[in-house]
Amino acid sequence: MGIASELFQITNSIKDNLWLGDISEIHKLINSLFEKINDEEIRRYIEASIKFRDHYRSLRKELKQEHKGLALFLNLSIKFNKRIQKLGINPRDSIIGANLEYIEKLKEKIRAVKEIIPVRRQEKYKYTLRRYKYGYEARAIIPDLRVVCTDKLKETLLKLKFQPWIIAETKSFLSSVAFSDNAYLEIVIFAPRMYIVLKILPEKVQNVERNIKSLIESQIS
Amino acid sequence: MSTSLHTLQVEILRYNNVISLRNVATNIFILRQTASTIATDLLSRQNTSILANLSVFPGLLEQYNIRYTEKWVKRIDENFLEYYYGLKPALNIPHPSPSQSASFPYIYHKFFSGDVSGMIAESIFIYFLDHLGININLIGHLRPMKQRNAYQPDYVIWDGSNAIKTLIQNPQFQPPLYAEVKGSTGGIDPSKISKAFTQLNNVLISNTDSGLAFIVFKDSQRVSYTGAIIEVTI
Repeated sequence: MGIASELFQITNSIKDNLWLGDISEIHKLINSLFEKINDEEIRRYIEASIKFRDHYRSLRKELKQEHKGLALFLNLSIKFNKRIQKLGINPRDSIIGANLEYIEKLKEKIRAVKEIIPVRRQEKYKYTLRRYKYGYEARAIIPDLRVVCTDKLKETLLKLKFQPWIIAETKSFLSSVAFSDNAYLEIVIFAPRMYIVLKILPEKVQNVERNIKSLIESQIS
Repeated sequence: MSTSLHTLQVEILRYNNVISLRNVATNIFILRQTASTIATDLLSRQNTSILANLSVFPGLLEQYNIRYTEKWVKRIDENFLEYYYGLKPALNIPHPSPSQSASFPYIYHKFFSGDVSGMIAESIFIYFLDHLGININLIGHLRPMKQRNAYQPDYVIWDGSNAIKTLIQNPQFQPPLYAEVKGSTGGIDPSKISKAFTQLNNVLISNTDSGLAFIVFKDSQRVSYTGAIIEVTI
């Protein structure tokens, strides 16, 4: 169970970093994963995945001549199940292999990419900031965030002269909007992610990055 | 705007009978009959237990969708009226499709790619697992690894903690747990249940293996969603 659970945790972490746009962290995660599994093991899993896929495809092609719809799915599953058992192909290994294949492909795809957006790294969080025609979008990952600090967020918003409105919240999730005289904010927290959209009148833009950081930091315990 | 548009009421049921594929996935008539019986039971709440009553915010569902279902539709909550009335929004795939080399904005900001009910069902499934206390970082979503005409279950769950045992009655169960998720914005569709069983029949090979079919449907008044867990063994 060890390698599989680690593999899926790393895959989920890669997805978080894809969302943020942190390519260098994705490189690191992929490298750390491939350091933990030796090449022979990787090949074995990927081979299981390829065999699993190839046998499924060839059987499907064969059975498609005589069956359609549910009959095709049923006959295929019966024959496929028998075949993989006979050949000693374990679905568990093939799933691990498919995940490793996906990560290898992703690694290849991003090999030449150094950065898609600058990532600002702080001690307890990291974030990216994009500027759009009418505002900004910030995405942050706060690794230690488990429980949303609603009160601290409201307090920070009031300090920044925003009127906050909490739309929904659970322990690890918060959705809110906030208004000021010249700006509109939308904040979504889904631990460990925090997403902020700021729409602001162009002539009123000042201290945007500092204010966004203070909003993120409201969630640092 | 009424409260019902802000929250999605979802009752999660467990089908009390464990389905043995040895008995069911052998003959198309038995398979269809079993699926039809289960559908009738679920609609009439026979042979079922209530596992949870969830009140889900569409905005939260959106986050589960982004993180765990890989169909990065731009905002379930913005399109919620369409989902609510069971309408299928028009496809919103950029033309021409992005090339491999230009795929980063697409990865970062994927557009709607169809299959609304499946996406809602998958998001509800992950939300429910999270609600049960299952470590959602140990859940593998296999859609990105799917290749044309090749089978992969929708999810594998590698969590062996007690939380998972709420869902599984098989005393010999060993992780991973395989899951197939089916949804419809209309009533329950027995053919989707049958299909889920045949799909799980591709990967369940020993007594320690278990699978789940998670079926999401709306009631006849289209007021609320129901999710049903059906445990499957060989």
